[in-house]
Amino acid sequence: MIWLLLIILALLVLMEVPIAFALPASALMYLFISDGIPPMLVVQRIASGLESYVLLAIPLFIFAGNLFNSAGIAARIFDFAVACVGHIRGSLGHVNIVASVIFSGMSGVAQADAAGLGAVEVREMKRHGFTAEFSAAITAVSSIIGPIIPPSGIMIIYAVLADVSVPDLFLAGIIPGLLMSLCLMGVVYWLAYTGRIIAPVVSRKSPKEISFVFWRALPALAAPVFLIAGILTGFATPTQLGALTAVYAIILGFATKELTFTFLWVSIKDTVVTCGVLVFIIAAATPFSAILALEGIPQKLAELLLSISDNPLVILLIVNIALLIFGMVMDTTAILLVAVPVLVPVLITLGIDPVHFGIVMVINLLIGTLTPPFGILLFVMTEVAKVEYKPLLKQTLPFYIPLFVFLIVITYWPALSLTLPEYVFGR
Amino acid sequence: MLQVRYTIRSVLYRIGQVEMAICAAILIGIVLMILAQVLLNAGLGDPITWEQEAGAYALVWMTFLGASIGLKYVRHVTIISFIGKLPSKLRSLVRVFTFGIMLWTLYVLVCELQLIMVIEARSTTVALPIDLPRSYFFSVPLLLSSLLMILTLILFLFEATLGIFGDECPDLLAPIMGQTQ
Repeated sequence: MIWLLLIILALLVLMEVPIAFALPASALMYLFISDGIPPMLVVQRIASGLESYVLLAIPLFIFAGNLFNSAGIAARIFDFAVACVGHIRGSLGHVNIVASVIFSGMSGVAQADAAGLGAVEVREMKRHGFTAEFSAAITAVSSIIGPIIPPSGIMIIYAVLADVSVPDLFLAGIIPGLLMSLCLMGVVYWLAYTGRIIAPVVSRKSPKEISFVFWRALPALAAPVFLIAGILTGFATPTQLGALTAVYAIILGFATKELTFTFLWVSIKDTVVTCGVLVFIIAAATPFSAILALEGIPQKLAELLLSISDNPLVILLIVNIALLIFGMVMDTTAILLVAVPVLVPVLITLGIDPVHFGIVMVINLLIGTLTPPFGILLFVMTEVAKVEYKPLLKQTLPFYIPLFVFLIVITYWPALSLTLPEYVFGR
Repeated sequence: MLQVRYTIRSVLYRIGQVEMAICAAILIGIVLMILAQVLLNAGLGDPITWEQEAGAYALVWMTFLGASIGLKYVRHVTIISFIGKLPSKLRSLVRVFTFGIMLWTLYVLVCELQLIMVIEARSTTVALPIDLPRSYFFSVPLLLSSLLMILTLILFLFEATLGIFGDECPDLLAPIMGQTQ
């Protein structure tokens, strides 16, 4: 009967019912048709599904990211990145990636990175002679670094669903995030070297100029350092660090006179709406997940996967392919909510570390935000850069192969994810 | 008919402003409470014992009211399929179906939540300075949010129905509240 649940969900999604309504609607329809489990049992879980202090970190980091965007921090980070890597072949392509890496230490939602810092990046790249399409493409691609390097909204959701430590996951994302950045910079260099993109070179900055932009960007650069130090020392929980980062952004914004009360209000409003949309999906998905659990789907899936192979490497390959396909057509949070409770117990049985799988899954789903037909970041960038979808997609294509290769490397080399949390927390 | 629509939109806009003010107060309250918690814990070694429980409850309220605001902004995540390519009247017909499904879902939630509220009210909060029924932080905010979303959806359903009869105008199904950022 469970296929009925999936068919109803697919139909509702195709009818453009919002995900947050399609999930409970399909669950309730299933319950009424199957006439088994009382609806009250699953409805009750909707509100109680949010009873988590850890989840509170999501709106707080979104708030901090919005504040940094409003406080003119993005432009300072961009200037600093220009001074550091603007002279390398590929120039502002590298700058875009480095700026995203720095900004990822303050913000945890890829869409916010693309729309906030992305607007600055695209404007500057166009001003320096890059095409709007390539500027938009590299911005979309680089913004997926945001949720890999801490803080990360998607990692917090995974941590809650898979019952793993948020600090462990945050630390596990650092090395893969930095490696992915280098990988993307390699692609930009190759594109510039082979003449596939027009990449006007920015002259190398003098030590005095570098020093000037460094001091201007220092308060912003301190935020990710402060955040990671907080995680390492255990000074505060991830949720508390989210609130402290927001307070820091407010103080910094008012101190530099770049944050006004109007911008503060806009940031608050955007945080409320994003929280209402993103976190509500988590609550709305609980009836759906509850039905899957009550119908014993994790056990059935485990049996199915183990009947194909009991080799963890093969299972990871199958799971990765399935997630990539779902990522092409479904929302990241919705996939997490449905897949994590089903997959993680199976993978733990096979000896796969849930923290390692968390990183694999996060990277996989983030690639999904870049792939057609429903790559949300591509849609965001068509708005931000005012470009057409197809030319943007064409410019994004060269980045797919390295991203897929990188996903394979992360999948089959767990040490890249696990070394840091093991070293710091002795897991 | 136009006047009725604009009046309803105007009322919903006002409701949305109140919801936004409450959510903004909750968000600022959370940040201040956590800041106080960290300072008291680090400075005086005297943490606020109810901070985590209050934070979790605040998240529930902010999320459910935020969901209602998100609907007024038309910001809920939707997978764009073929509906936009359909002829105008057929598109409106599909929208009527879509909003009908959403309304039915919320109606079922409202019915079930009234029963759940009674059960939840039997237990109280754990660490808060005053004992409050747990329903205040679970079924009540969800019930309120569902009712507020029903109001918004009734407007959207009404507008989509107008579209079926060829009464489509440019701002039909447009966000009730403006775009952020």
